[in-house]
Parts: sequence; C-alpha cells; structure tokens
Amino acid sequence: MIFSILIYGSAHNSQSVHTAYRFAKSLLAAGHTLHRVFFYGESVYTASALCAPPRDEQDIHQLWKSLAETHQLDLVVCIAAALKRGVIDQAEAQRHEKPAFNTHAPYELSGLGQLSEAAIISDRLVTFGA
Amino acid sequence: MQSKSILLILSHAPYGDTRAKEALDLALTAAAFGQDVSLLFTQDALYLLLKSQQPQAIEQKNLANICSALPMYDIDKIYIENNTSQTKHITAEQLILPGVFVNHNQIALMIRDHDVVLRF
Repeated sequence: MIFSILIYGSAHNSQSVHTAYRFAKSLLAAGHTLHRVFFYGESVYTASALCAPPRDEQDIHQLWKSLAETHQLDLVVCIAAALKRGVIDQAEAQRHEKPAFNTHAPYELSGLGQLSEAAIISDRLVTFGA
Repeated sequence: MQSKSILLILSHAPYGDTRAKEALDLALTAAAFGQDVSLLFTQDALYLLLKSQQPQAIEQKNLANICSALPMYDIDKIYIENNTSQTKHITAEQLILPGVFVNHNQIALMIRDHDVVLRF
C-alpha cells in the first residue's frame, strides 16, 4: 500500500513528530511504500539542522534525516510555514537576503501542491496532529 | 489528473493560532489541483465565517476575505455544524458565505464518504 504522512504537531512541544517517525519505520518494515512525508505548521522546526537537544534525548531532525537517507524518502517542508518560522535553506536565504540558513537535504522546502499530489497518489494519507 | 474528495474539518478559532490560515491555504491549493474540496466548520472555527470580524484591531489579515473568495476557486461545499451555530447563537445571515447546516449523523456520513479527511 502507498502511504503518505502529514505532520502538523510541534516538533519539540508535542509527541506527534516522534509518533509519525515510529509509524513511518513500522510501515516501511511491513513492506509498504512511503510516498512522501509533509511537514506543516509547527512541525517544520524538525527541518532545522541547528536544533541541539541534550545528548540523552532524541534528535528528531537527525532521526528523520537518517530514515530518509536509508529509504530515499521524500521529506517535504511547507515553504510558507517554514520561512515565516525561520526555517530556511540556502537558496531561500539568498533570495530573502538572510545572513544564514539552517536546513538542507534530505529536507526540501516546497509548496502545498506537494501535499495535494501526495493525497492523490497515496492509498492512505495519515496525519499526526498537534 | 486523478481527483479525490477532500474534507477539511476546521474546529479552532481563526486568530489564536495558524490552523485556520493553513487550512484555507490547503483548500485553495487542493482546489487548484482539481480536487473536490469540502469544508466543515465546527466549534470555534465558525467564527471564521463571521462578516463582522475585525482582525485589523490586532493587526491580522482578515481571513473572512479569503473565505468569501472560496467560490471563485470552485469551493462551494461549505458545511456548518448545526449544534455549533445553535450554541453560539450564530445565524446564516451573519455569515460571509452560504453554507449547509449539518447534524452529527450527516457529519459521520461525510467523514465516511470522503477519500481524505484532514482536521485543522
């Protein structure tokens, strides 16, 4: 079955990004396809490479990055939600004349069209709320 | 492109957080992608449809303006939870868009009958 995952919950103030991560691992282990993971709302902070959690806590940015690299996952971060929260890649930092950037591959900033396309392609679009 | 029916259920007040704006953005994008979009307003989300809202007082964009543009994007399936309108004493005349009032049984059927259901 083809799944996509939509996450709206806060990256650091709720469990939803972590729960979505475990769900993603489980469905891949069960032999399903994960077409896309779409980060919307507060979940876009997951894409910030500058988050430095304490060493004895999970680093959710790194967990998703490793899973994406292992399984060639498409991690799409809503560009509008990300830019207004200061989650920005090199190209957008240049475009908006910002002094730094904090996200890069496999996280990809893109539009809500990617979420619409995921809803169309996938047999199941599973959401993880706030 | 293949078309799916998408139901967006909004239940939060318009300006306390970004949910309402994000739901509307998604509705417009999905409609632009040729999807069959329905919007259901329940609980505090009904305030989003009030003509009389004045968010300029808190320097926010008026989301009712986006709502009033929904029909231009072929989003004309607007549903309002009956119970919400009664408990909040909000009538159809106060709303910026015409909507169909639905009860809990009808909402259950809507959730069953749509391909994708998203909550905001």
